[in-house]
Amino acid sequence: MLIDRTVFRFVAAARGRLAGVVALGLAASAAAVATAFALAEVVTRVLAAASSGNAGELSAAFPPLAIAAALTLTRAALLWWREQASVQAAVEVKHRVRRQLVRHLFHLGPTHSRRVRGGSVQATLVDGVEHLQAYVGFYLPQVVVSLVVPTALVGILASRDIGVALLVAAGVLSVPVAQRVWRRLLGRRANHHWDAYETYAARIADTIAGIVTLVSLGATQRAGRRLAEQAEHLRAATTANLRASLGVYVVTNTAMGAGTAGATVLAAIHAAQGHLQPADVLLVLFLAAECFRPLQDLQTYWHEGFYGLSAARGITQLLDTPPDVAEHPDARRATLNTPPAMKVHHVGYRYPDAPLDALHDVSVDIPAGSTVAVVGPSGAGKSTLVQLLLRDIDPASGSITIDGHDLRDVPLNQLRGVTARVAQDVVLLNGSIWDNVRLAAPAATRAELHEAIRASRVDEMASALPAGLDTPVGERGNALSGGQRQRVALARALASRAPVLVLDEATSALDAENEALVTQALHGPGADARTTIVVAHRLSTVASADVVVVLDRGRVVEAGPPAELARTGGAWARMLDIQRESLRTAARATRPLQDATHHDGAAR
Amino acid sequence: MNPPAPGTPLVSRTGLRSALGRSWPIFATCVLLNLVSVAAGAAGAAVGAWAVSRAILGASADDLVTPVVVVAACVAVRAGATWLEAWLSHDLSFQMMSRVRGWIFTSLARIAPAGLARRRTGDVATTTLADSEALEIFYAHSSIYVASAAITTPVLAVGLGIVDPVVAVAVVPVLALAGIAPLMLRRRALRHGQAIRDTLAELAADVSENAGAVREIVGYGITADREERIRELDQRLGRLQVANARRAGLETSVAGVVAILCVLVAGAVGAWRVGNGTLDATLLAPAMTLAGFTPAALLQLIGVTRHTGTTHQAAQRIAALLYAPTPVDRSGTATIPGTGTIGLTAHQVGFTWPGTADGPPTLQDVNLRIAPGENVAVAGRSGAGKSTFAALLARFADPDDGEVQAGGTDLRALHPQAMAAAVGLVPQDVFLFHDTIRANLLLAVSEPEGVDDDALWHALETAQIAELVRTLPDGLDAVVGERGAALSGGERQRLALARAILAGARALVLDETVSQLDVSSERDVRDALAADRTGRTTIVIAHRLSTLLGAERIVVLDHGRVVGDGTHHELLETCATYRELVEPQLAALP
Ligand SMILES: Nc1ncnc2c1ncn2[C@@H]1O[C@H](COP(=O)(O)OP(=O)(O)OP(=O)(O)O)[C@@H](O)[C@H]1O
Ligand SMILES: Nc1ncnc2c1ncn2[C@@H]1O[C@H](COP(=O)(O)OP(=O)(O)OP(=O)(O)O)[C@@H](O)[C@H]1O
Ligand SMILES: [Mg+2]
Ligand SMILES: [Mg+2]
Repeated sequence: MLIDRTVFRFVAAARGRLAGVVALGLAASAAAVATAFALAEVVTRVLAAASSGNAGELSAAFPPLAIAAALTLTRAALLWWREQASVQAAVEVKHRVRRQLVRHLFHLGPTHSRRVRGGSVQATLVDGVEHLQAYVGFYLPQVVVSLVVPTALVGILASRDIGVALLVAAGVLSVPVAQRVWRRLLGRRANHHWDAYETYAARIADTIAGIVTLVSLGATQRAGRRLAEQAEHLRAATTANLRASLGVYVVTNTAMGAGTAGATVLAAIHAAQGHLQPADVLLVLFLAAECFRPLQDLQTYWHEGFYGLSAARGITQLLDTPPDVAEHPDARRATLNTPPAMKVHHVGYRYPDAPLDALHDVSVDIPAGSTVAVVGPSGAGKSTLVQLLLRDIDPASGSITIDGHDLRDVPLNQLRGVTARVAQDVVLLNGSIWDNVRLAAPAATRAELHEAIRASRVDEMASALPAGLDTPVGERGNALSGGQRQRVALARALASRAPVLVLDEATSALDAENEALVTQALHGPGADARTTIVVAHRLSTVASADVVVVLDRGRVVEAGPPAELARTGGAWARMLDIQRESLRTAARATRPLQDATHHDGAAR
Repeated sequence: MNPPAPGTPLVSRTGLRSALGRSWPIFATCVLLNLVSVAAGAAGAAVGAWAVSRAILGASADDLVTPVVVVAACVAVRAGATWLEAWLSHDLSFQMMSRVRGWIFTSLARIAPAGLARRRTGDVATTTLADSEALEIFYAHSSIYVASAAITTPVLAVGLGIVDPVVAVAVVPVLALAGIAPLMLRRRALRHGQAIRDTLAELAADVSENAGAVREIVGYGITADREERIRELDQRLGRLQVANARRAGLETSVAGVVAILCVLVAGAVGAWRVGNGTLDATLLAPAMTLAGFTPAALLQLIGVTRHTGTTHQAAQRIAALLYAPTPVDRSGTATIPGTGTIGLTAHQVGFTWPGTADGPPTLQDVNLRIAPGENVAVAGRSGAGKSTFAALLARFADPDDGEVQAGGTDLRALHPQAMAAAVGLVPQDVFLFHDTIRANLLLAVSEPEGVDDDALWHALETAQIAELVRTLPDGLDAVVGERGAALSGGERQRLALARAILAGARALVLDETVSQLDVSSERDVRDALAADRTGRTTIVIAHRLSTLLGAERIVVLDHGRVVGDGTHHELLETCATYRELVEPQLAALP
């Protein structure tokens, strides 16, 4: 039989229900066997009446006939019950597996879902788990039934006709043997099917998510063709499996057909030779047929449950993936100040398989209540630093502390509770603007939420939208403009009132006016109740920070208060120069020019 | 292959016919093989029963040779037919599957992106994957059983009639009972199927949203809420599936009882006939055996009608995509003469996003003339309508009023290929596919085989991203991760830019494409673009003053209208909105 050990860890929970399913299956078989006895009796009595030539004796056949009818109804009822019990058991298992999977998905944290394909997670969690139904609820219990029933029946048969019993036993045994042989032939190919399915599902999801890009490149047709190729891979992987399972199907079907027919023929010969009583002939035949029935069902369920087995592997694989950042076993809630201070000590980090360190010996001091700006060219490692500060990832060397506690010793929940971020690629959740702000602070009052909404200028943008704050944001926030989406994300972060706020290019899509107002709100009154880390390219966003840290190629090249750095003529001063240079033409002609030069001069 | 004509019901004979297309001989063969295997099974069993009866009634072992040979032949024929049918029908199912998926892709391409805006990715993915599988089962399995039941059942009834007509006449009405339960429960089956499929799709959409937002969900500590939502959906699904099993189980049980009832009726009638001497005693057992086989095809059919509900709902969800109205009609055939740079014109353009009709239009009376080779910047407050304008230029949607022209031709008249060659857009949210850098780039060209690595590197150089790609161990074959997650924000933008450059459109629209680059990298990109091909029309949407200043001319949008058009200096004098946009940036400069 094709049983996989990995599946058992899911099944244990529904053991009781599955035992019930087995019991119902056995009872149904027992009813069928009893029906066989009753029917054999009917035929015997009819034959007796026929050979005696007395039609009146025929009525003797009706009591066993009535019993057979009653047993048939009983069996039907049992089977009906069993079907429901099977589904119920499967539902229970699926439920558990899904809950574990969702929990584990969150446990794995943000980095995992950026590494794997979102579509494959969906495939595992939805389709994969659904596939377990036929395997767990139907195939597995039937395995037990198919072991018990034929064994018992061959025993009974042997007491009547040892030859027929042996023949039937041979037919019955061919089923597990064939399945084993095919299993061996199938080998690792069985896994390919699920892998191919997952990949295919992931491609589809990826293609649909990127459909705007495809349209803008005029590449929808091409993408369609690529998907068709992928479907061909899936087909190849699946046909390989199907060929094998078709083989099992045909071999077992033939064995069962030959077994039944052989038993019939052998019984007839034995009867003709007078070795077998007429009544026993019929009984033997009915029992032989009944022997094969559970195997026939097993066969059908195997066909339906097969995918469950290969899906189980996908499920196990996901469940067994360890998270990038593990909770320290004796992590204890740390006592943190509001706001806390953070320190980055000589941190190094390299992405898996990357040729170079993304960060190298980086040290940054983030005093409580200060605003620290991180600047530097694209690819310098700014977002990597952000991920380390929020413990999406752990440093390879060095350490990061919050109020003196190593981040690895602080429970993840606590750390996440005191931090809020606006990521470089903002993701909003399906729902309205208001829903998105509120989710960060379900306990907050309306007034508190409105405060966050005002500070992030969401009020200004909502007033221009027909449905105001109730405007749906669309998938990931797609129905909003880039700057609108960033503002909602900012409002969400502010609403959480986390004492550590991390902004990664949070205002890059805002116009200067809104950006200035948001920056003002962030740095205005109450700003020192927060420790703020800002990553930005626009110098206007960071000029008012307490400290500027300049990163380049993963190293800190300079750090200090911006005014001081501007004087010392290092990297920051050069960045200002470039900026000024690029605006020179603008600054020269008009009045703002004088302001600019004035500031310029003052800075020097 | 094109989808069926709009409105064609998918679960119907016409639907089947368009799905089968030229595969119908396989279908017919499957039906025939199904008939052969059921008939051989019945014949073998009946002959076996006959042999046994004769043996009991005193025939010698030698008399049994012929029946033994017949039984053996029947077993062999049945095995062969079963095998062949299984083989062919699986082949057919793959053909059907790829056909249905082909329909869906064609439709996705037709209605994207506007027609997909209100659908959740997970939901559409479910339709493409699971729903198409359900419909395939109808085309490649259920329909075969329907056809086969219609032929096989009468054949077996006739066979029974040959053994004994009276028994046959008694059994046939009983057969009708087999179909009663599914017919009576049909409405409920449809309801269950609909609810199950919809719940599954909702579950899929939620799961895919969660998978894409783990960072936000764990960051804001709302995992419990999210788990609870999945749990509720899962529980609803479970309840529905149990209810469905209760119904389907009843159907199967009734059918099973009917099969036995056939045997009992045949037994009773046959026994009475044997008793009054009108039927040979050796034919009683064969008659009962055959009677037991007559509902075989019907049982097979009922085994699949239990999925009716799911099939119908899957078909409806697929039809909703296949027959969705075309938001942007891409059947135009016009081309723009020449291969050089082209101008773009907007004439009295007005546009409102679907679903926002009760507010002011997103764009209104937009008139703009961009000369061939010109380099224009578009500025405006967040939400002013800049990206919307870009979407119209790239023809993601058509304007409600007025028209947009490229090279003097209305975009609506252009052939899709000509359209893609005319305007290339790098959207504000760049999207990279979870694939290699090479694959991401090659999406941009219509004949990837004809593109060598030099062309790829040239595009990467121009977009100032070649240096990074060179450092990657896998180079062009490095995988960029989910939505490009293995790259930094600015690197993603530059890679998307490289892709657009490779596409080689005659006018390039860059929506905030350099917003995440530092000023000097931004200037490098601009210089490289200018050097790459002199005279390419470029439209740059930006907030950053340094980017705006790089353009020859700046257009200012406000609340969907053009409120300024000129050089930086002119606009500072004439356009209040522009002043508000740039003054803070000048003032912030230390
Ligand atoms: N998941 C990843 N796997 C491998 N390399 C990565 C991954 N994420 C980032 N990198 C690489 O690490 C370097 C630093 O990336 P990071 O995102 O920190 O840059 P950044 O300073 O935020 O740049 P930007 O301003 O463009 O957002 C980049 O060269 C990038 O390609
Ligand atoms: N897909 C959409 N569905 C509905 N409304 C939309 C959609 N996309 C944009 N909008 C709305 O249209 C208006 C204009 O948005 P658009 O994206 O054009 O602004 P933008 O000028 O590009 O702003 P930003 O500088 O913030 O990117 C906004 O109010 C926005 O909410
Ligand atoms: Mg970054
Ligand atoms: Mg925009």
